[in-house]
Amino acid sequence: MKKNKSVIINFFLHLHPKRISESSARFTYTFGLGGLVLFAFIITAVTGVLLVFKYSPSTDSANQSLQYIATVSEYGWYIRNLHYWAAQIMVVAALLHMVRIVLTGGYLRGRAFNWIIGIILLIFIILMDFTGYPLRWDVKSNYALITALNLINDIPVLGHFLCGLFFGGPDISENTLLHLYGWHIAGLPFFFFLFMVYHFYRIRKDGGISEYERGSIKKTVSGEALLKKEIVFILFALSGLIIISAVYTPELGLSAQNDFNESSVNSPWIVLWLQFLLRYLQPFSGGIVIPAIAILYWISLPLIDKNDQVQGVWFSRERIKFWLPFILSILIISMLSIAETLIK
Amino acid sequence: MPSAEKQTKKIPWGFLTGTLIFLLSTVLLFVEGQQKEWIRYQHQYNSQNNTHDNGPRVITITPTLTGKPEMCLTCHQGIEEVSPSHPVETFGCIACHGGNGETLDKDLAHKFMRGGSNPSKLSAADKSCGTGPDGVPCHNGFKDDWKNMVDRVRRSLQATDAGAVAAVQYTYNIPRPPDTKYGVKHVTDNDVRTFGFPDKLISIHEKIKSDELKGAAHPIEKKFEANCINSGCHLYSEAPHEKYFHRSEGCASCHIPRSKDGFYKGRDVTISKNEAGHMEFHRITTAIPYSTCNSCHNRGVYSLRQMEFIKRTDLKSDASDSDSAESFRKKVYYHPMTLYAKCELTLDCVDCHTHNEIMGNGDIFPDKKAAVETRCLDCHGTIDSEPAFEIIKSPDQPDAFITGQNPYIAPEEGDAVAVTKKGTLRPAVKKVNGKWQIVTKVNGNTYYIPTVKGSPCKQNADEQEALYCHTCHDTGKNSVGRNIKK
Amino acid sequence: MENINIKKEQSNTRRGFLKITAVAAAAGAIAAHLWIAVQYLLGSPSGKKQHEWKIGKPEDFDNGITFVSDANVFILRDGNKFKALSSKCTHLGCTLKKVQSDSSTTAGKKSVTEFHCPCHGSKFNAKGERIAGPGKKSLQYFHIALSQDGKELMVNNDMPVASEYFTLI
Repeated sequence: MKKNKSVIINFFLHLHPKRISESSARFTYTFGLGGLVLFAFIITAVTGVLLVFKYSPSTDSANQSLQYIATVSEYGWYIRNLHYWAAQIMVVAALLHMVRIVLTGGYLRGRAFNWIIGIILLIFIILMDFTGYPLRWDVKSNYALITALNLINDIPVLGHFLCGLFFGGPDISENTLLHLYGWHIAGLPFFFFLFMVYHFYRIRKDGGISEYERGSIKKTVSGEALLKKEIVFILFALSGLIIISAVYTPELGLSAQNDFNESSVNSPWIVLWLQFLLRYLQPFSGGIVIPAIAILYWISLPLIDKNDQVQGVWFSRERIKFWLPFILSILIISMLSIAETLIK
Repeated sequence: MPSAEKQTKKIPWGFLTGTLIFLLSTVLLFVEGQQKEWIRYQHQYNSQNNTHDNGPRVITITPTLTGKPEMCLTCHQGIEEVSPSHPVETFGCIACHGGNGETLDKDLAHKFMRGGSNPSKLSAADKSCGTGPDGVPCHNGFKDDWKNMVDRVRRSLQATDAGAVAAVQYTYNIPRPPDTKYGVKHVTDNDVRTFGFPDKLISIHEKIKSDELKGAAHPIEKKFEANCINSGCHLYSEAPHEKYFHRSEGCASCHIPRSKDGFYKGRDVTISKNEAGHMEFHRITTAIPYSTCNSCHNRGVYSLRQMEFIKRTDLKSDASDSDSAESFRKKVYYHPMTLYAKCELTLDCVDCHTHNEIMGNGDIFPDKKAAVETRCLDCHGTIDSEPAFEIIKSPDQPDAFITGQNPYIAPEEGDAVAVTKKGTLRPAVKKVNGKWQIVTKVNGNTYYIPTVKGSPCKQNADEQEALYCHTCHDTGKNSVGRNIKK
Repeated sequence: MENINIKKEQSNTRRGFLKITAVAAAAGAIAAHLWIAVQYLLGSPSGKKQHEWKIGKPEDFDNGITFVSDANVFILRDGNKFKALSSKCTHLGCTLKKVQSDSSTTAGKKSVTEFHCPCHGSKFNAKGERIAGPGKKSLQYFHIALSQDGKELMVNNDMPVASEYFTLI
């Protein structure tokens, strides 16, 4: 290759292996979901940095500063929309990425550890999403915040400690907002970034992403060809994101002191299932035990499923007893969320 | 070379489509971005006032009363200051209107506005006109009853329609419990000062509803509810949107007059100028012109027989602004069958009719007779005596203060001013150098008042109903009326 | 063979053209987004800065020099003469401090009023003339007058006047 390439392209090229199995590089194998999460993270980071310039993390002016961003600042609405939609894409893509891994046995053949890292990343993504929501400081998000606060406060032994750690105390105050803000813009993204880099490093170390063929007899494509594919994919994803952001503006209510009789209170969609559970169960069991069981179950999947023979095949019949329960667990959560939406 | 090398020789369709879509979506974004509402309004305002160099800018004020910044004027840039006694730097918009000044999002900003676009609706007036941001009494909530304008108006005939309800019930002999009076809404008075006046009115709607449940609703009463109560003959509703009928609701009915055709004529670009049913200007006034009163009064016949309002058909279509004020009044406003004295064509209604009559004095008036106190002799006296008068002790005494809402007079200590038989002062009617004079509220003209004493009039001092005076003092052919301008 | 070569060349130029189009489109869209980010960061012009200040009734000022922080001026009162002197250092704009400085002259030791800048040590005398330090210009005098209702003094710190200007109360 004698072509002149810019440093940036070289950098991204460097992240890819020289050659990669053709079956793994196929778009219909991965659907680019992991890359989509990275892309969305970069967008949230860039727009997040921009938002920091105009957001004021104090209970008096948080909502007002957002109103300002949304209605007064030049293109503030657009930056905010991008930030919001990229964050939503991040959650959805991460979940789908996880589903893809389970359905194709991606955690097999020594990739169990990276699977666990992946679940940690998912938790971070959800936390980043959730800590971003109350920063609106409107009535609806305040309710979500109160719920979360009391939920965590109800954890035996550790509750108070965790509340202090995440919310700066058991009551909503100036501290709560500052803590949320700190975690949202610095604490969580920092650790997320570390884990993410490790996740990527681990993929290379584990011998690339999962694949069908074993051994050395395989068709391959070059890393450069893969990068080109990825660029096209990112262009499409970016266009989609821009269109959504240009057209749909996420809700922004009024601060609690102005909006005294908001009738319907919504959690962010990502925790609707939790809201549903909390309608019928005790906070501790509904809010802590059940999610913990689900997460432990997901983490333990590679421990139960050790069928190293089949990898890289979607919906393989040999592994149906492993992926079907997992899909069911995801479906149940989705159904709960839908049920919660329907109740309103 | 392996397959990868071949790929690079192909035309990069994917890349091309990707970049083009990227560009197109960016273009879409810019199209969307142009639609900010407040910028549109500012452009509109700037083009109407030739202030293009201002460019779109956010206008924030922090009224001293609330201390919270408001961006309302960004869109409502041209709105008139509501009155000199409510300066915008002090009151801002939120203190009266409610809503939210910290956003430029139209829906959010207008969420929880009091009374929609009219904070003086009687359902909202408690918070808007009545009290300030911290519950400080403004026009309600005082210990002194006379200061509680909102409560007074709510108990007044204009809001309760009690007289009309009673008349209907009486005429058709509709059964009702003894000693129970009805009005448009429930209203109570804990401090009845006039013997025999009711201490509460029951909502006529609820009476009819409970009658209906018993299967005993009177058809006439239901017709009355549908045709009269529900269609705007009181302060809880607007008048029909027709020429000369235009009137707002609540306090604004009188204090924010509408134009004859109901169009807004101010400079706020957000308010439609070709849609009837808006205030003429965003301006509160106590100098209420006769035309405002006449949006309800003299508009036709409130027929007891047909139980409906029959609009006048004799309104002169040839009336125009070039008519003299008097002939315009006669053509458009005044009933052709009624006799009018000169003063009724020259002065405005509020020059003679007192606040106690119009807005009530805090008691619940059962009917019109109970409310009216203005009589010809208040200003003109009788053949035996001059008008009754009182010496003002201090310009701050309650009565002097209220009726002093005439911008052209300043009551002073020692002034001899006329007083009604119920004791309401008329600071605008004053004896100066032995001559009685009146200063009108709307345009500040001063007129000398001819007194009966010393004139050729032979009217018995005991018979002073308006009817008797009008018999001679009609502005028709045989009028003996005079109009002496200072 | 030659034919094939021509075809190949044609397809090469076509490919090159499309590639340039694609790169240009991407560059345009990216530039637009950079422009958006810059517009966003520039911020909207804030409201007008206040220049006119009501600083209080004339009788509230003692004879001599009084600092008024709102308007950022020193009010110099001499009987019924009022002057407004900028309290902004002519160097980099720090707010000057009024100090009593001992200066020894031939007539002996005497305490004089001076304005000292806390930032880089510029010094001005009681008339606002520069004595020392990096500030090169003398201090500016501003317009001072009675307000319309005649009750309060008004200072306009956007309206420079000559050092001889004063208002008589």
